[in-house]
Formats: sequence, structure tokens, C-alpha cells
Amino acid sequence: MKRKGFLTVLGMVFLLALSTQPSQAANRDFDKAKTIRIGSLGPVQLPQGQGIHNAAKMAVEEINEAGGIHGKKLELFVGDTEGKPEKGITAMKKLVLEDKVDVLIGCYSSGVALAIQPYLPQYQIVYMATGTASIDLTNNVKKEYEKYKYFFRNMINSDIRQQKWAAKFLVEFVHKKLGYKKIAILAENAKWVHQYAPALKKDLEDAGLEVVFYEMFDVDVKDFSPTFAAIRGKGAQWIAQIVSHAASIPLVKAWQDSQSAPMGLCDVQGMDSKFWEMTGGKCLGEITYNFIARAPLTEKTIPMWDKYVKLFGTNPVYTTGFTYDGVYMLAEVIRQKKSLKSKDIIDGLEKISYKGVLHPEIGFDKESHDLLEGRYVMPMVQWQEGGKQVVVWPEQFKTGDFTPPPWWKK
Amino acid sequence: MSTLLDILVLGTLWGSLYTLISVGFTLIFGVAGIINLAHGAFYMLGAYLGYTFMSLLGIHVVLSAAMAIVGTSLAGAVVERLFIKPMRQNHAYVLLITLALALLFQEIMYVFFGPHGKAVQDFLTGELLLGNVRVTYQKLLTMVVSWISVAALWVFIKTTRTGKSISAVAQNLDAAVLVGIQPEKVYLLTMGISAALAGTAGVLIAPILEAVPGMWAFPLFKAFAVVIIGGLGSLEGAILSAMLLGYAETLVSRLVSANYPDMVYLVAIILILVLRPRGLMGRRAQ
Repeated sequence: MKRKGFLTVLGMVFLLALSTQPSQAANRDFDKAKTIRIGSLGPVQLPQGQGIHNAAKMAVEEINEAGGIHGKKLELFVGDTEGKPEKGITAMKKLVLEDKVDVLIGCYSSGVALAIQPYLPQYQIVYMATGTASIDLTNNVKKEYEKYKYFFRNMINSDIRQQKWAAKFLVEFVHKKLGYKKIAILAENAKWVHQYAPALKKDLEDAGLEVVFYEMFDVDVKDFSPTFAAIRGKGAQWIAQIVSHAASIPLVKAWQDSQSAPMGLCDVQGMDSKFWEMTGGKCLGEITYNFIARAPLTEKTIPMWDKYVKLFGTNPVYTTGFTYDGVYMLAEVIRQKKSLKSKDIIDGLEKISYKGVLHPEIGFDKESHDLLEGRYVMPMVQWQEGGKQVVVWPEQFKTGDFTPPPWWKK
Repeated sequence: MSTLLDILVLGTLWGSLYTLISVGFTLIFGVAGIINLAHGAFYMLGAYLGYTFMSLLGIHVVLSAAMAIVGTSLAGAVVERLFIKPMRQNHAYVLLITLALALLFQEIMYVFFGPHGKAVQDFLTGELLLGNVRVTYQKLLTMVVSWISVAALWVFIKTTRTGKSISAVAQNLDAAVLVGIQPEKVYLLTMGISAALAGTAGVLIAPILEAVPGMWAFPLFKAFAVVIIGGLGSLEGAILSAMLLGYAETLVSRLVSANYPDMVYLVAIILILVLRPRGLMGRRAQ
């Protein structure tokens, strides 16, 4: 009886040990690996998640068609984060522990990526984030390099890079070119905007613009009519919207119904090629920066865009370009190092300068693993008649001229 | 001046819509004594049926709206017969089953239409200019149809034989049975009317906002607040408090921030529960 009890306790300890020391594949020996396994994270029901998984699939197939990496094929595994932190952790664990992937890529929502990030040192697996903008993610790397060195982001952070780009657009295009001075900032109250919106306000005021309306609204707000009435009452000449998680359709409808000033800055749902259809054309005149557009950002951009449309029957979304380039960058480093060890992949990524579809020289800051300053472009795209998406700024990537909303007279 | 007009117009719009939603919610409570947590789901169903008939199938606007309202009303009747009737006296059961049904409806919409909102075209295009304030015809239509619906309900209950039987069951069930009224038929009819009112609100609001899974929770919250403030089971109270809350939340959104309208509701609920627990027009407990 004593012996049986002892064995039971031993068995439980063994099981407990197994559960805390999970079996995983990251850091495998390259020569012994039959295939190279890539785990793609993203919400499969949302366009942003589909943009991640489709881009990863396309890149993996292209690399395999070109002979793989030293003759080894890439295998893609998909994890559904559902856009929720707890589901993101489960999806990541499934990819690492069951599918035994060598590297991770993707993720939409900074909240999800922040939940996943602390697990990376435990599994010692490299993760390239391609759809998350909060600077907290890369600040973590900067503050605790040894712990968070596994994390890289080739997307553009919202707090500094997107914000500076937004200020540049509003000052150079809206103010200097169009002659507008009174700006309304209408931002959702979400993690990625907490530093972005106040810093943008300050930059605009420093540049001599007048911020006549400034509000960070709750993402649950559905009725924007009073807000646009208030903006109109303040005499705003331009509305800078910063929206990702909030209800874009009611926002755009209320904007058009109120016939307020032109609206243009960032509307993540408005980047979706189906947004025209989703709003019944009420997004006519709205501008949002995109992270990819059918414009010659590099010579690879348009061919990739056209192939993606042919394969998936829809336009790339903002996560697509980052993920596509991300898979190629990871493959390039693994090829160079002929290794799946995280230390080698990290070393390779810290030194890489990659010509992708989004920029000719993509590289990372060695301390924060964030995208290097100046290594990105965010074309400002306007919805025009017939649902056309036209790049109106910057000049070198323009595919058409800015057209004010039909009701707007300067 | 234009600020005041903004508040008046938008407050009337939302007040009218909340009236339409809350009258149905309080009606079924007053008559059958049930708190129907699926009430918001009927609002969502109305919006999605309107979207399906009009935007996907291309059926004429008026016919689409009528079919969506009838469809929602039938769904309400089916829910009453299959899920509420067997256990009507068990309040906890009714709360749980109607909540479960609301979540089920949400999942169905999610599966069939996806997680993103669907835009529904305006029934009427164009706008009315009141000074500097623009009122789209869709918003005007929403106000007018809401009030016509509520007035029609009022006339139906006060003047028709069937309507009076609803009123009788609400006032005294035993006496109603003694004079030959069949309560089960009344419950079924009331649920159908209640769902139709919620469905009408959904059909009308979809072009202004959107049809999206999860939209059911917002009207349910509003209806709850309205009936608590107006007085449980009181149609007059529901109308009064819906209008007051419509104006109050628009005032706060317009002058303070779009983030605080819900705070208005919570403060109003606390005040009413402390100062006048039976609500603005509720009857004193015997």
C-alpha cells in the first residue's frame, strides 16, 4: 500500500515535471530537421488575420517552389488568436508544443502580442510580430534584452513612427498644400493610441496648427452624430481620425451624414478593400494611411499585390506586406546561418538589411528589435468614386490627386 | 442656437428609438411578468433580416422592412411557445433561457454574416436643413415610424377587443380568465408584438449604424434602464423616461464627451432607486 502511494506521488511529480518542461521543437538541429516549421498567428475570422495567414502561405509556397532552404521545405502551421489575449496564448502554445514550430510570425492586436511575449523566453523561440503597433512591445526588449530578445517587429510602431508620419502628413499635405489650419483629432481610446494621440496634438500645435477639437472616445461608442456636430461647431477644417478597434462603419456614416470637414489619417478597417462595399460607398472621400498599396514602394510591391489578388480574390490588407516580408526575412536568416537555433536567428535578424515589398532596406534596431527609423513608407490612400483606392501622398508614390468630399467647400 | 437644435434633433431621434425598444420590453413584462433578455436579439434579428432582404436579395425597401418585422415577430412567437411557455412561472429559468437564446442568435449571425458590421442602405436619401443642423431623411423616418408604431400600439390596446384583453391580463389575470380571456393566446400575441417593436427598431437603425453581431446588448441595456426609471410595466413611464434619457445622453455627448452617455443612465438609475424606487410612473407596491 505504501509502495502504491509512493508510486502515485512519483507519477504525479513526473506528470507535473512534464507539464512544466514542455516538449518543443524550437532550436532544433538544422541538419536533422526534415522541414522548417513556421507558426502563423492571427484571428482567422478577421481580414487582418486572413491577411497574415494568406501572406505567410504565399511566401512559404514561393520559397518552396524556389527549392526551399538548402533543400528543406517550409511547412506552415496556423494558430487562431481570435484577436483575444487568452486565445492568443493558447494558439501560441499549440503551435510551439503540438506543431513544434521553429519560429513564430504574425499577430493582430498589441494586447494579444503583449500576452504572448512573456512566453517567448520560456520556449526560446523567435517571434516576428507583423500586425501589432504598441511601442511597449519593443520597449520591453530594450529594457530587458536577455529576456525579450526573441521578439522582433517589422511593423511600424504607433507611438513614434506612425505618429511622426501622421504629423508629417498633416503639416506638409493638409496644412502646407491644402491650406487647412484647424484640425480635429478624433481617436479611439485603445492601448496603441495612448501615446500617439497626445504626441500628435503636441506636434501639430508646435507646427503652428490649431487643434480645435480633441477627443479619445471609447471603442464601444456607436453614435458619432453628436461628436461630428461638435466638431462642426468648432469650425474644424480637417478631421484626423485614429481608429482600429472601434466601429468604423457608423463613424464613416455619421461623418458623411453630418457633412463635416474632410477626414483623413488612420482607419484600419478603412484599409480593407471591401470597406467601400461594407459602408455602401459612404467612405467616399475618406483618407487613411495604409501599410501597403498597389504602388511601387519597391519593384516587388506591384507583382506581389497582383499575385495575392489572383490567389486569394481579395486585396492585401495592412498585415499582409509585413507578414510576407517577415517570412522571407526569417527564411533568409535561416538560409545564411544554416541554423534553427534562436541565438543564430536573432543574430541574423539584428544584422539583416532586406529588400522587401514594403521597403528596399528593412532592418531592425539592435537594442529594441523595432523597425529601423526611415525604413518604412505609409502611403495615404483616399477612397474615391467607384470604390477606387488612390494614393494621394507622398508625391513619389501618388496614383492620383486628392479629391475633397463632394459636400466640402474650402 | 445650432447646438440646442443639434441636441433637440438627435435627442428626439434616440429618444424615439429607445421608446420603441422599451415599450416592447415593458409590455411583455407587464403582461406576462417575464424579463425577456432576448429582446435585444429581436432588435438584432430585425436589422439582419432587413439587410438580407434589402441589400442581399434586392427586394424593395418597404417590402423588405415589412418582411423583416413580420419575421422578427414570428421568431418572438416561436420563442414564446417553445422556450418560455413551458416554464413561464420560473423566473430564473426565463432569464437564463432568454439570455442563452440571445447569445445563440449572436453566434448564428456571426457564422452567417461574419464578425464585421454590414452596412444597410438608407431607405430614403436626402436631408432636411434646420438652420445649420442637417437631419437626414433616414433619421426623420426613424422618428416618425417609431412614433407611429407606439401610437398604433396605444390605440390597439385602448380601443380594440384584443388589445383590451392584453390590458386585462396585465391588470388582473384571474378576472381576465373569469370573463373568458385565454391568457396563453394573450401571452403569445404580446410576445409577437413585443418582438415586432424591437425588430422595427432594428430595421430602422441598421442604415444609421450597422448590422453587427453583438448589437443586441446595447438596446437591452437601454431598455432595462428605461423601464427601471420609467417604472416596471408602465408604458407611459417607458415613453417618458426613454425621451428624457435620449435628450440627456445627447446633451452629454454633444457638450461633454461621447464617452459619458452610459454614465447618465447609471446615475439616473441610482437616483431613481434611492428617491423613487417604483420609477417615474410605476405603481406603488401593494
